[in-house]
Amino acid sequence: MNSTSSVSDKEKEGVVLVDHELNSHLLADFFNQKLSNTSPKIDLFKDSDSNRPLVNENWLDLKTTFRPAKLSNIASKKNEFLSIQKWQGIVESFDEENSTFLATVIDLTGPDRKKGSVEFDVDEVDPGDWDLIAEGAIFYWNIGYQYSQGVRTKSSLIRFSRLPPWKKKFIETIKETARNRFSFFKPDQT
Amino acid sequence: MNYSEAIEHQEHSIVVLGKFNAQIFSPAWFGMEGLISKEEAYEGEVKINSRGVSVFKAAWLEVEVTDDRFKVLTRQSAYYEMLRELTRGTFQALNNTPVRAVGVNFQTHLRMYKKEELDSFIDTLTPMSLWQNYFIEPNFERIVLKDKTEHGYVRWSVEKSVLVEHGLYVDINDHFEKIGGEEVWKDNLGNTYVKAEKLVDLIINSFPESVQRCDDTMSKIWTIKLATK
Repeated sequence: MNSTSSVSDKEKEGVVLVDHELNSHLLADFFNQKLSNTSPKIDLFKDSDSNRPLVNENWLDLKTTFRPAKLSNIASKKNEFLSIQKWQGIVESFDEENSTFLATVIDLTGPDRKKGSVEFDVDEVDPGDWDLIAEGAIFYWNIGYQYSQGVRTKSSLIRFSRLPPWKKKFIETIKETARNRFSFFKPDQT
Repeated sequence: MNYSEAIEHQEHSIVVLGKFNAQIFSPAWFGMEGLISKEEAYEGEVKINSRGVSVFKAAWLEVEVTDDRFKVLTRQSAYYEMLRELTRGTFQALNNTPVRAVGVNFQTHLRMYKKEELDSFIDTLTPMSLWQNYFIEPNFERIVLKDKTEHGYVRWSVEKSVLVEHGLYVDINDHFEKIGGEEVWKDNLGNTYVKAEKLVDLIINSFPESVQRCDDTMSKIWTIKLATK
């Protein structure tokens, strides 16, 4: 019988069990923070109660023991965006018709904080932030690695600043301060 | 090599100590205040929302609030600035909340390629030969140091990573005790509280410097590590 084309239901069930157990052990170790070289070896391919094999050993050419520490890096980077280059930008002009905006960006990664001018497509921005695109709006542009389900892809991420608008009372306080300063520096009329 | 090239996993969090109404902190509230997008608020996963505790996760953000502690965290370096802006926006909205201290924190797991590399660095920090004369089998667990700053102190600890094989874990806490402003309340323990609007000023004026201090601390630790190669 060809082992790649005819897998019995029992064997399929065995594979599911292995995946399930592997995941459980990884999660348990991850949250208990017990990942180390001294972690006990776990036999994932045997039923812990009956000690019977869960999969046909001839069908799967796998080792029967596993150290969780070796997979620790996968667990730590689950669905993360790791930034390698970062800019802060300010929208200079917004062309709604062509769905583009022109921005001045400042490099936040390098020590010399280089400035540049870049044109972006609105599509490059997270859809949740489209309402925030306007002249003068601040945003952060990241280029980095997106880790998803253990796969790494190079990616760009643009998110707009979401500081709440100033409250009326705060604006009034600023106006009051400005009026006081103006009257202080006002040339003497007498 | 800069330490950032060795980062395997990093978290950035901001902790504010004060008096909070924990229950209001939900994805919906942050969404209504415009501090996260509507989509992020809608997809937010509330773990606990009761009178004294609120815990939720929304996309890049994790929030934990109790009666006396507000904590926001992100595990994604692309959102570090957004986390600070979210904290500023939160206390701009709740500007009368009494607060007493704030911490800017970075928890970093750094990769090392060989066990010897890690052992050699740890032995530089705490030479085991010194202890072996007095104890049976002494082991390095953790080292904690503290230095004073203009607003409080910066404290850092170094230990072996539990996430990264032969990795190093560094926890940096830049603690602000002096927020400034007029005292509005004093608790039974003698802690004095000011209005959160002062915290907003502090975030605007001192956070870039604080983040720089954390980065410098990390760089200095890494310089010691490189020297032990």
